[in-house]
Amino acid sequence: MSTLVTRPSAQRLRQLWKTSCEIFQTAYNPDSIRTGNKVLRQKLKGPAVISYYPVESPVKLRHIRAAFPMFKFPNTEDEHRVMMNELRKRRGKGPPKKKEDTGKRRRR
Amino acid sequence: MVAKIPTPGCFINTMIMRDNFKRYMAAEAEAERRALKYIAYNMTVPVRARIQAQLKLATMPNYTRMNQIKNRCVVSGKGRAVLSEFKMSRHQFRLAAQNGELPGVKRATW
Repeated sequence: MSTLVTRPSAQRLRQLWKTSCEIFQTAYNPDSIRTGNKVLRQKLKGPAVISYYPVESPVKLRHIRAAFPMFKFPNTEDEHRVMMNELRKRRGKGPPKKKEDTGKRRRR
Repeated sequence: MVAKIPTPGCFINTMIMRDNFKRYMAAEAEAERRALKYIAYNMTVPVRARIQAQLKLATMPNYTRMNQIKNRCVVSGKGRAVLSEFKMSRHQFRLAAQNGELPGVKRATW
């Protein structure tokens, strides 16, 4: 009955704590010293970060065109771009003519 | 880094190329950075080692840092207002959703 009335000593409680940690395989850190384990506990996120942008397809339009020469595979984006450029040229908004290099330099 | 970093298969622009490079570099250095941080935070390690680890961390190139990585829009390359679930900026998301290209996404009404 007396063991229930008096509290066990701190040393004894520590021993109990230590044994308990050994049994349940947890880390024993009674003085709460910062060991930096929380940094190690974090999951690595390298693979997730790398896989954000989709991987470039190894098969390109030119491969498909070469593999099936009897079919016509239109490159819609490129055709649109060419069409827009032609319209601009018609309106007179094409690229300016390149100036000829007469060799004349500006007087300093 | 010896292996070539693969080009993204989505919309390409300078910012996306830079971000992609940073991702690969940060992933490569992640383990080393984590170890250095552990040493720096560990109070049971001698003080000199901790300081050295901190210094090493500070002098590592900026492209090895995880917080330099930014989720960019995969369609337009925009860095702001990107929804991570769709990897698209808000306008591109809106265009795609209204076209029906996003499965299960419809106008919210309740």
